[in-house]
Amino acid sequence: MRKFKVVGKSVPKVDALALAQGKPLFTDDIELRGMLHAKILWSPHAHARIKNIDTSKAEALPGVHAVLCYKNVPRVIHTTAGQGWPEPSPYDIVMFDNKVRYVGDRVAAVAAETEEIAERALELIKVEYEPLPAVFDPERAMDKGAPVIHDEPDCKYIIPVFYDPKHNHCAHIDLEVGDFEQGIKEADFVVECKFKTHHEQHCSLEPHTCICYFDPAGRLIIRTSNQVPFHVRRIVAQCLQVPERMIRVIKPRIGGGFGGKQEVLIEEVCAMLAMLTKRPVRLAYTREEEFVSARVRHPMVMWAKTGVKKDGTITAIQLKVLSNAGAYGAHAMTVMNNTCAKALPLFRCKNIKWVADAVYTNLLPGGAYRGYGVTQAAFPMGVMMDEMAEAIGMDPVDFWKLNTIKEGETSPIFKALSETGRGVEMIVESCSLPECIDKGAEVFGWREKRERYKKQSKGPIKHGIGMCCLVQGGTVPLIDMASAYAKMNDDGSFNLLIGATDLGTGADTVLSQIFAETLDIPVEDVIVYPSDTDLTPFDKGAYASGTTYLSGMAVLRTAEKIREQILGVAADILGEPKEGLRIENKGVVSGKSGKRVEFSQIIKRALYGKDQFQIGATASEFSRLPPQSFAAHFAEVAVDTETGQVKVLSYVAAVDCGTAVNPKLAEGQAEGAILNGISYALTEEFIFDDRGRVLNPSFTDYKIFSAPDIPKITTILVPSYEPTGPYGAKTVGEVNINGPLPAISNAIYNAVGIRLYETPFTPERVLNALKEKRKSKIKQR
Amino acid sequence: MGTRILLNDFEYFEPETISDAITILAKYRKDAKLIAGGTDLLVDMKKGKIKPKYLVNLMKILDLRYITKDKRGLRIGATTTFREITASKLIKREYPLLFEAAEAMGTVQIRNMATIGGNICNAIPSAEIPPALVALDAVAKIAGRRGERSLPLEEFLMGIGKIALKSGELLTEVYARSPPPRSGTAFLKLSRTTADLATLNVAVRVTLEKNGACKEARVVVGGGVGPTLIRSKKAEALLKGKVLKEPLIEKAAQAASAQLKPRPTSIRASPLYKIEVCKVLVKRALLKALERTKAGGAR
Repeated sequence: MRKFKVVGKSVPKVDALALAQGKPLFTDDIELRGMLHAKILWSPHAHARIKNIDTSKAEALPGVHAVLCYKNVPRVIHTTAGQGWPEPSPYDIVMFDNKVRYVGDRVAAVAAETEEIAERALELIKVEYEPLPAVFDPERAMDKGAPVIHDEPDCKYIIPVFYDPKHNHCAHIDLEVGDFEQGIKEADFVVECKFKTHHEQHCSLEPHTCICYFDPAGRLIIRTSNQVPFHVRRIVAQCLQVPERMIRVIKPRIGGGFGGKQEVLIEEVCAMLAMLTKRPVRLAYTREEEFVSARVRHPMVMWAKTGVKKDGTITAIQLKVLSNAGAYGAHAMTVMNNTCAKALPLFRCKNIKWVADAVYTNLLPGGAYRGYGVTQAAFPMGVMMDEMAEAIGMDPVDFWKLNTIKEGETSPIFKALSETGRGVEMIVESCSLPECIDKGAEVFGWREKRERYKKQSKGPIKHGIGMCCLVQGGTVPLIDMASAYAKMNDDGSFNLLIGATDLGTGADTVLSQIFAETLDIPVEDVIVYPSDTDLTPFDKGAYASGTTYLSGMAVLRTAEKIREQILGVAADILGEPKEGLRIENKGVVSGKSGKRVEFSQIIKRALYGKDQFQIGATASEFSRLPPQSFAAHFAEVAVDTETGQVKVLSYVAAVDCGTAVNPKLAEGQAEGAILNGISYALTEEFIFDDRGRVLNPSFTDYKIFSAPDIPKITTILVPSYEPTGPYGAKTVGEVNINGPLPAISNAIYNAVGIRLYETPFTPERVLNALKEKRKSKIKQR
Repeated sequence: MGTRILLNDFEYFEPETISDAITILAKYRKDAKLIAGGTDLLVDMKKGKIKPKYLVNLMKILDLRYITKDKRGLRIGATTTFREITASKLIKREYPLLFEAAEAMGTVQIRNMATIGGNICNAIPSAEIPPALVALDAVAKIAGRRGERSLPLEEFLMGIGKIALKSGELLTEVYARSPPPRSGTAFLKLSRTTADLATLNVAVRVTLEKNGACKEARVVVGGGVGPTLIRSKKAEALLKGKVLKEPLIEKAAQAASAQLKPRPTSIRASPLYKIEVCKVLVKRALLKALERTKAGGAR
């Protein structure tokens, strides 16, 4: 493996100091002269037709400058999903409709001098609703007679895929590789279970925030906390029916996205209000709005059936998926597809059947959420693996190792399906998963603990351990593209302009490292400027774990082009052929003569001396395949059998993300994802009433883990080298969120012998399962 | 509620003496609202649940902020913060029950701001410190235009958001009885995360006779188990005069649990779960308290 100078080092984040100093870096940190404040009126009904809206009183309120509703805004059907074009999500939403489809759906918007006036104006808007029957249960959504949520005639996909909105059927795909039934026949044991996963909010510390204003040329500037600035430009132009050249999107620092900001959720309203009022307009969600009017992880009902031979061979896997898309279908099909495309290639099995549906219901719309369908599928698959290992009496570590994909192998799933439909044939060229399993098990003390916990202490607290392995393919192959531009300055420093979107992950730092490595310069010499649709070249944005891998390759190619230009100028200065020269420590050295010329001399010659030109280049890369990142997770829990409380005592994650460009940041990604996953597994939960209202829209009642709740998490980076990635790097953003559900469920089983098939694992659910177990034991006697 | 601003205008007062505060309260009566740490009130105001016309800040009254002891007990001024309670060596040493309850409340940031008086007067059923205080037979001291009066804290707390303060009155002090010799106490809280309101909390005290029998017991359950905390005199009566053994303790725990009346719509757990787990927590707390009487140290 190559030795690196900058790559593989935990250099500090390039924005760390400014963030620590509290500099005004975020969207909401600016105050523009004459800026208005926007507020949105939300639907109190889960499903209703709006018979009439009277906004006259609101408009008459002093300080109110505009009121928007379906009456005065053009109806442009589109999708809010911040995806590439043509979007693989249904066009089923308009800025304001005369129908509401969930509690929290958008009804009207106001721009006023102050937030206070805007809030008062909302109270003055009179809406006449005709409530309609609603459906909340995804298993009832396609029933005969179920209320049709999208009865508008213009909803559609713009790509050729299944869509049947008249039956609330938002997406459907099925596939079979090999022969599933035959595989079941060959099995010695067959396991079959039903699983359910729940809603989850992203809980970014910075809520959705957007400020729109006009520059002196009359172009609309959208300053927004968003993961996909280029898609924002395209979709806002679409909604406002203006040319894209009229819009510039700027992404400042972001306080977390996790997929929640891969969505054009507020930008088009803010922009429309700015257009109408000719004033700067600010629109920022409150925490309550984040909970009731943003996006969530798609809850799913899943049926898994697998067959296994006594020798440990998995003969058949079937996964049926029913995804609850909620009121709108943004990301519904692609998240659904990933329960197969990005989750099942992990398993060595010839016979795989997958049947998936996504349905509309009158609940919160699903969206992108870190893990993007793989989190949901990893739960049933991880538990099924544990059950199969138990059925044949094999230790889970050995069983996982036997049945997971290895370097040089392929999976029929790669070709059969991708996130968007069409698959790409590929061979896994980098995989250190076997080492991850070994190292993780060793550091965790798997075999020793497994032995120790066979004998439980007498008290009410029981201990157990569980494990699982994970995969997450990065990028959307053949669709995603990233690009970069860089130029050299007088002193030999560089401006690196990237379309890539750092949402707190450290992408700016990682990409600077890749650039610096290629040109053998320190990171300080890279002035990085990201995500501005006027100044930086296109990038698909921050999703599908793709930034390091894909934007990293674009940066690498850009730096390589610049290197050639530098060598060309140096050759001229030194009077030697370019071929004998190499870049070394901010200079160019001749291998033959040993002569050296500094970057600062080279650029001065290029800018002022002879045959002047700007040393600079742009380059792009598109995703040819989804690089596979792996992880092995181990959880140790204590279960209180009298209260049902589950506590994670320790958690070990051994992660294969290829080369970790910045190990500290990679560990941060892993640990953040694990904690997010543990919190989802144990405490995070939306509570709805029977009318579809969220009863706990605050951090008081929707509990995410905070500092004192964090268990001991150990991350081990186990390198591999991905030949298609920059310096061997793959991806690390998502894979680790997929582990806690199965690992903790398996650990609970190990501790107290109950299988939890439904999430989250709340004390009440655990206690009930324990009671059931006691009852069934009594019956058996 | 995120960035939402305060919805109503109000006039704001910062009296520096108790009598000034009383004068303002007497003048504006129901339109006035007292504020101390503001950790509950400001949230309610942002939500629009409370719209006071007059806001009276008590934090400038130095006479309301103290922790002292006298021969019979502990005096805590109403605007003493939770941080001050948990930092008090006196409380940690002699009233560990209060220390444990105070530390279980909120987060560091909230404990820095929130006051004991505010926590009591806001009267949310999940509050941590009131059960601990009731287990120590605490008394609420009240000042008003007609002078001072005292009320057992148990009677002071009347329901969700309901307290025995009359218009023009304010809570000035909480007085906790010093635990008699051979006492042991314990506080247990069940919650989803550390920084969560209690699903259930239990404060108990057992005081033994010289011969080891139970001289006196207090069993108090909080955490949304009824309109306010529940002191289980039934459980206490079962324990009194007996030698405390596990079966008896379980019976007492059962008795306490039978008195719970949780609301059917609780977000944190179902009523059935609370009743079930109450038995466990009361039992554990009593066993822990008993252990501590034997240890003689922590009470």
